[in-house]
Amino acid sequence: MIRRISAVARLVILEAFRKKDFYVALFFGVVLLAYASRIEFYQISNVHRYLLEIGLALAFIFSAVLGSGLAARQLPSELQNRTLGVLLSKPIGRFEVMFGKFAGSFAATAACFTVFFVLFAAFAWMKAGGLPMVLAVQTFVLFLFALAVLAALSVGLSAYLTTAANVLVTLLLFFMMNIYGGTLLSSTAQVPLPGRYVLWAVYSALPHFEFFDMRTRFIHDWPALSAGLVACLAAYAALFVMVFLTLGWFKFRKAGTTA
Amino acid sequence: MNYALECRALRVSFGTKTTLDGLDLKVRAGEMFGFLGPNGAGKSTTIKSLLGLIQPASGEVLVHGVSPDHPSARRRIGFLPEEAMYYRFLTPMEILRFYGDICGVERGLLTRRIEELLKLVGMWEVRNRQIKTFSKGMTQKISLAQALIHDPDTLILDEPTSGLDPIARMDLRSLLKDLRHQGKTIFFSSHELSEAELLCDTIAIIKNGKIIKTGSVESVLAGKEHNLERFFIDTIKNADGGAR
Ligand SMILES: Nc1ncnc2c1ncn2[C@@H]1O[C@H](COP(=O)(O)OP(=O)(O)OP(=O)(O)O)[C@@H](O)[C@H]1O
Ligand SMILES: [Mg+2]
Repeated sequence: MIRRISAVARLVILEAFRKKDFYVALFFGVVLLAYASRIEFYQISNVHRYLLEIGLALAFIFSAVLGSGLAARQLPSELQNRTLGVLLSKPIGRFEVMFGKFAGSFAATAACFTVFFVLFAAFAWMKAGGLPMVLAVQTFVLFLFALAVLAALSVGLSAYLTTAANVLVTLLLFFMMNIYGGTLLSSTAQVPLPGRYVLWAVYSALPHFEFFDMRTRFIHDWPALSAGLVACLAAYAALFVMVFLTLGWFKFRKAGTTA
Repeated sequence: MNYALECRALRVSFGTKTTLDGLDLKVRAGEMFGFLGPNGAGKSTTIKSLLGLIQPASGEVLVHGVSPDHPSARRRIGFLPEEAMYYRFLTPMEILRFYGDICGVERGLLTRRIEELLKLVGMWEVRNRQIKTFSKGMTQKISLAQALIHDPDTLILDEPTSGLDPIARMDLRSLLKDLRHQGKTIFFSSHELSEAELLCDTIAIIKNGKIIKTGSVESVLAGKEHNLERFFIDTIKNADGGAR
């Protein structure tokens, strides 16, 4: 099983790195990051904080866009290029195919995010003259969790939506949750009781990408998270990965292929 | 009786259109079976059902006695699709390694088989070129190698000779004969009765999703060997009062 999944994943990674669009995105990400690191904010006192903020936000946004784009097009392009029929005629389960697609998209995106993050950390180091190491590592790892959930969401949705709609929904959910996710729960307080339960159910069913966002903590050098909390977040991410892949598989397992 | 492939009252529809209409088919283990019919008769649809790529509306499909929905049943089948399409950014070596990994072929054996198969289909020289630079016939040869990578018991080939030049066709025919002598079951679709007659033990003719004639080559063709194409055309035309 591991061998089949990793074969599918390797294929995704190979494709991502053999196609030029991936490098174009990577290149633009690096250029933007480099540019942002050079902006001089003469009028602001705490300059390095703003630089950190912009650089980190750019690294997050670029990785999320790359990740959802790559994950969303996997199954549709296999169907369109008529490669799915031969693949599924081999002794591989359809869940394994989906999991391999997820794992490959995640790994390729994670590799790009690593490049962004290392560059960002290097710039930040030079500007701020030192970094809170534990916080940096936690910020990095937690965002990898977010990317995993994002990739699973895109792969799962690709069984239902066209690639463009899928990327739109995934990114919208990702950015909305990052911006408004934290305030959603308190805004349900005014709703009368039976309705409030429904809202709570919706709230807990949504993937809370904002849980993985450590930017503020990192930039203001607040205390790091406990190991237990990080482990809980890892479990939370793993749960959502499985839920999204299972939802996608539910549709994909019956799908006909025009091989 | 030990059947390699079996369809029982198989019915497949696309929307409101019934493509396979209660199809019955039995392919004995070890035989070479020709599956003939005009365009749109339902040959490729039958083949996709046999591989579990299409879910039938009703009826049953068995591959070596097991539903093709089980990955283990598909371990014993090699499939060559009608229009061969492969990951364009890979080379033949990488493609065969990928499918070998999927099929769980032991790694040392896989390396040997890849070389053996690429030499067999005459693609060893271009083994490190990306597939997107290949002609149709070259892709078809990769397709054949891919179908054999895990040494399956049964081969399901959808128009295997399409896109091949006469020499490559001849090579393919003798390869199929060799495989049959090794005890493999071979099921292939074709438009040409003359091709099936050369190779097959049994043939079936399908039209509008139904089998209209089936049996051993001798019994189906008795006395008509001198004009096969005429016979094929007449059979198809007469099947339901020349409806087509
Ligand atoms: N995905 C699909 N959606 C709708 N109709 C389909 C689909 N696939 C096949 N059909 C229809 O089913 C019928 C049988 O198609 P099939 O591909 O099985 O024919 P075939 O015998 O393989 O023909 P050919 O010799 O041209 O390859 C055709 O009328 C075709 O239009
Ligand atoms: Mg066909």
